[in-house]
Amino acid sequence: MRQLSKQLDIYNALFCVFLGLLIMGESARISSAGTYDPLGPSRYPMALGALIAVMGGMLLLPAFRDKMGEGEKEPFSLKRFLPLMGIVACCAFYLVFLNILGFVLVNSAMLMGCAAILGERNVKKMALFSVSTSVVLYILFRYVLGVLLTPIPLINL
Amino acid sequence: MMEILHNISLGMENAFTLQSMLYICIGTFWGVIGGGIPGINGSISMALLLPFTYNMAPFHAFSMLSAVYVGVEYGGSIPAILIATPGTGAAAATVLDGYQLKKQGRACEALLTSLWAGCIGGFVSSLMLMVMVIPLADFGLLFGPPEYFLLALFGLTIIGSLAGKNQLKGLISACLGLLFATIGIDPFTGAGRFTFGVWQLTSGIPMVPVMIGLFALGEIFFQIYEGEMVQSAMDTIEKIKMLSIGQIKRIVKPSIIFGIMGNIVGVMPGAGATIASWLAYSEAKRWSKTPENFGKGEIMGVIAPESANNGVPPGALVPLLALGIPGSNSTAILLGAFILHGVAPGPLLFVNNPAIPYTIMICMIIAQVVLLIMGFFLVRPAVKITSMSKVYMTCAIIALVFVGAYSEQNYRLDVFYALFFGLVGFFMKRNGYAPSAMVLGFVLGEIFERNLRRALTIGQGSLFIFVNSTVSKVLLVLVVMGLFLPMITAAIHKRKKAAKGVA
Repeated sequence: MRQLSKQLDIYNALFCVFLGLLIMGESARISSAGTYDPLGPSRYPMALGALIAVMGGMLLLPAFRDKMGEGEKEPFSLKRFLPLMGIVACCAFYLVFLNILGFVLVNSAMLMGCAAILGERNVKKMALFSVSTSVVLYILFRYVLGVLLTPIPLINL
Repeated sequence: MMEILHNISLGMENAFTLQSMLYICIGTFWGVIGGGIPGINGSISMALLLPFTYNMAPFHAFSMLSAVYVGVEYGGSIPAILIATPGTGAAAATVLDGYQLKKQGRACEALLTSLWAGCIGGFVSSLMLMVMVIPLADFGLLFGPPEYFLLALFGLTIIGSLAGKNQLKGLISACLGLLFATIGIDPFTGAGRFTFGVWQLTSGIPMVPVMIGLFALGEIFFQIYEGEMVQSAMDTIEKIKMLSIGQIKRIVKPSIIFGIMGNIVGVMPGAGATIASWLAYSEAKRWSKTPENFGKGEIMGVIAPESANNGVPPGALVPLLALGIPGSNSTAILLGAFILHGVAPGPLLFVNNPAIPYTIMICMIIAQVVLLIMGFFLVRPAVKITSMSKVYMTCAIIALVFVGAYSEQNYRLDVFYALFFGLVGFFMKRNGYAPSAMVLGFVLGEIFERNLRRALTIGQGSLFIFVNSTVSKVLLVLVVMGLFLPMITAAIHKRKKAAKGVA
């Protein structure tokens, strides 16, 4: 576990260095033409990129000095990561189908999916919760707060 | 002085009517509800109520809208404490300790403390507004780009204390926050920065999805991964009871101090409640004898940001009333209401129609009292809502986060941002980075960069622009103190401990 933790710290640090360099490269491409501003639009993000890269490099030192990693206390567990992936998939479904299927339907489906992934097995209870929450949220946001939520399927197509 | 007293009596005459009281109650309630819903901030809540004021007398319209402004700031702390989702940007700092208190079963105490702190801070700030509206307006005008830059820099000095065990990771998080704030069209040159040809990125990343993504979704994802999910309030929350006199006494002094701080920050156009609450949190931690308790459920971590952000609305009225300049989105809506009712705010308002500004000020004070009473009745249902099963609570929060992210601009991309930053928050937490430092960097990023560049342009590239005025000199000293004082005190503590160990 100690070895794994150390490895993850090294990956973390390398990611920061890479990200910093990427930001610097991207900042260099920003056009600074026609400005009287001494900093211009590119120097500030470039400086931030440089800082991130340098600090990433500094993170490497303790990792190589064989110190216990601070971030990761336990090894990464795919078994525990799967439910999270399931929840993220439900969220992605919501995001993709919100304007196509309408808020109530998509939100209900997302809530049912999330509840099932989190261990709820009572389908009736799940359905009641999902639909009632979606309807209440729809009424509150659409009619009281004036948010333009798509009400029914395919209205935007 | 006599003139001020006369104007105050005029304001009281208008404010202490049955109709005004009713509108203040409606406005406060609406504000609390609006603030309590993520994505619906002060300006949206006020804008939604604006059409209802068309047929009202100007006094009533202004009293209701200013009461909304008061209610919103407290409302934002309710979801911040109960579900780690800041209802408004200003409540983001409250999440750090408020949610930890909730996890310890002290949600009720945290909510009531936030209520008392907010009302005291708002009350003191409203009194300050009444007495010092004219001098405060002059003070606000002393702030130019160098001063704003130094103020933002001072706010950033708190990163060290938000970073947790690894200061480097905290600094990287803050830099990432500052960097995310640069995305979009550069306001000075019109050049696109980090837009990668995606036109949706040209307007930048909005604040609400970033904050609720990093705080709320990040926390939920982390808890799902850890197998905890969202803790059921019923498991841990103590019986709902009022605060004791001793507890209230402990709240009063810091609330007055941070309420004044909130007022001063509110006076500066563009600064706002979010900066005030972070500054107050940072200062509370710096002044505390037990700074290590912050972030772990320290009650002062709720008092400081809440009293400061409730102190902002009266302060924000100063530039509007005295100069006719709206310093924030909410005061811009209020300016709209002024114009709608044929009232021109500015220096002449105090000469031609002094009853209006003083009525608003009195109404703000009354709204604080109404909020205090209303708050007691809202604590119980608010806590009860979070006492549902862990699974359903988690699902309801996810739904609320998404619809909250969507509601600010009616834009589906904001839901994507919330999800993206939720995942970023999860990975940051998992790897020992500080999402709160990233939020701070993101919040202060725009003010920081814009004013740095403006100041350097004014000073033609010379850094001496940052020591030209008295205000900037004072701020510079504060920044230096903010950077080095924690290091010095830590070194002293270490030496003392070592000396004790030797002894």
